[in-house]
Amino acid sequence: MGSSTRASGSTDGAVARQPSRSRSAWLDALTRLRRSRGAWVGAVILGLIVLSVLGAGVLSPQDPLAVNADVTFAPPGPKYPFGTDILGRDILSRMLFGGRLSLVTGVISVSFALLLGVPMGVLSGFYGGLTDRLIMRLVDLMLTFPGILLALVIVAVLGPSLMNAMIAVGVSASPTYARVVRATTLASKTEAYIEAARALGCSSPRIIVRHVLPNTVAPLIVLGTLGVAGAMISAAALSFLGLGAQPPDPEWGALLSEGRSYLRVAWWMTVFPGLAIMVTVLAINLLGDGLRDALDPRLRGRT
Amino acid sequence: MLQYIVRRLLLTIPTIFAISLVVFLMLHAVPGDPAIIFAGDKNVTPEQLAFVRRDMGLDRPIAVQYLDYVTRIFRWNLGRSLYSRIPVTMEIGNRISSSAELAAAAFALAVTLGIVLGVISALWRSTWIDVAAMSFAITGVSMPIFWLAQMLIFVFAIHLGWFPVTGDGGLSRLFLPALALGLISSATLARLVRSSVLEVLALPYVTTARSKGLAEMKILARHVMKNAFIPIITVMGLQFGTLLSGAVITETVFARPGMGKLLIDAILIKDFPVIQAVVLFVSLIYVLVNLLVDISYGLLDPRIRFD
Repeated sequence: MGSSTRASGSTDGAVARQPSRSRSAWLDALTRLRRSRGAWVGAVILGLIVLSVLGAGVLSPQDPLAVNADVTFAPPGPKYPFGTDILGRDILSRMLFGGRLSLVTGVISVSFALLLGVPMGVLSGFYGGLTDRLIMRLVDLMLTFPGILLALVIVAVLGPSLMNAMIAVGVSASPTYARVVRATTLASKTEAYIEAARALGCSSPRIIVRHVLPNTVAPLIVLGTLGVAGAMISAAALSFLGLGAQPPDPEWGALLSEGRSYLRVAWWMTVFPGLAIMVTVLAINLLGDGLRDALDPRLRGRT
Repeated sequence: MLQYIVRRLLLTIPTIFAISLVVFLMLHAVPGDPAIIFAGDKNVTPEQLAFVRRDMGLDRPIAVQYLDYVTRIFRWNLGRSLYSRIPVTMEIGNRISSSAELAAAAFALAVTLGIVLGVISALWRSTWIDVAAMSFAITGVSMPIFWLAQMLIFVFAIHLGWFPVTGDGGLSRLFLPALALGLISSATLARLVRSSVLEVLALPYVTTARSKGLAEMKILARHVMKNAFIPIITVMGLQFGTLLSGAVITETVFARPGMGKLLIDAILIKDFPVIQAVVLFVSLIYVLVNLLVDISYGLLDPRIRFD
């Protein structure tokens, strides 16, 4: 984004001129982040969405699973702001409860990706040699399956369910994390403080945990945030295809899948859940872009 | 250059074997006995299972089975669908043209739109043009393709009646799916084109070219784009992968009888010969695209050949 690039550029100058004001790199980053308009907009929208899905129990006008045959396919109106589906269930209430599932799905998928990718990257970068070659061949192999194809393979093997969809999305995203962590590990391995730690007699696991991993935190925050956005779309896509969340779970992708058959008679079943996914993912992307510009300008354009 | 191409070609051989191994192991990674999948029914007698196991060769050592699988790939014999009983290669053959048509149209749209938007917003950086183009791009990145596809159907097919809703054949049935797939892919590309053009614009030789009075258009064509194109081509290759998986969803939404729909239908009914063949086929195409991307690096940048 033009404005955020300019903002971070000018702040770099400001920080350089007054180095004594903020000593920590994290504080610098926070200052840069606060000046990014996109990050603000993203954070505020995301905050509102998180609050409303957390408060789904209070905010929902209806019971999300309550079937009411008298009001099937009610168009949006005062009683049902986003209309109802074929069973007379309130779309807004289903979206509020389903949002919990969708957001949690994104976060859990990325957690799986981190759990798998970070150890792979650190071991590969730190130990080098045969370990590095084996792990990187595995990463390359996973990357030869384009886009969500690897996730589809995993779901095909494990069977369709929301949990398996999250595992599939997480595993197929892990190579990116492994690569970034490996690159950061390689860069920090040559630093003098690693040599100093070794001279003091620190064990390799201790060096990895205390001195190498902290360097990977900044890029991982950026990638992880943008990753939640990507994972939400992928998981919703799997649910939409009938390979993720199963009815009657109101996950947003599953809601869209339900609406698909009734596009002619009930457009509201498709429009609102889709908007919810888009706005949430957009907010996370804006926040992620801001974080990237603030924390790790080198990553710009790579995601 | 020839040496570079040959070396790069040789490198794809182990990749292809690794892919075939993963696709082969898929069947054996499924919890339970693979013979049950082929028997197609959970209530089969042990005798029937034993027969299927012997019939399909599942009782042999796994290494022998893999060798057999590789041999069959070379003979282009990937078994029959468990449900339609049609040879899988024939199923793929019937559907490939529909998918190729969609992928080509969407890729053309994505590349044109992505490069134009990216270059324009880099040249007019921080103006309203840049803001508008990049707002479009980040919206595109955040939009689920299955939703965009359905919105296009709702507006242009159901509401306005300009296009048929679903199906295959003819430009009118290709337009909406290609638009959905192309728009989504152009968004990522536009963002990357912008940042790589900006990066090159800041290099000293661009300043030199300007200071010697070269026309801006000439600088752009001769100095900027040629160098900006290397990262752009990488992402175009990657985007092609995204396009392949996006096609899976687009085909499902528009009920186009392509490879993607074949794959999803097969996953839903656990038709493993079909799943394995489509995954193998799509991955091989992706390997081929990446090979072409790498070869084009060598053509664009002589330094890469001598690495």
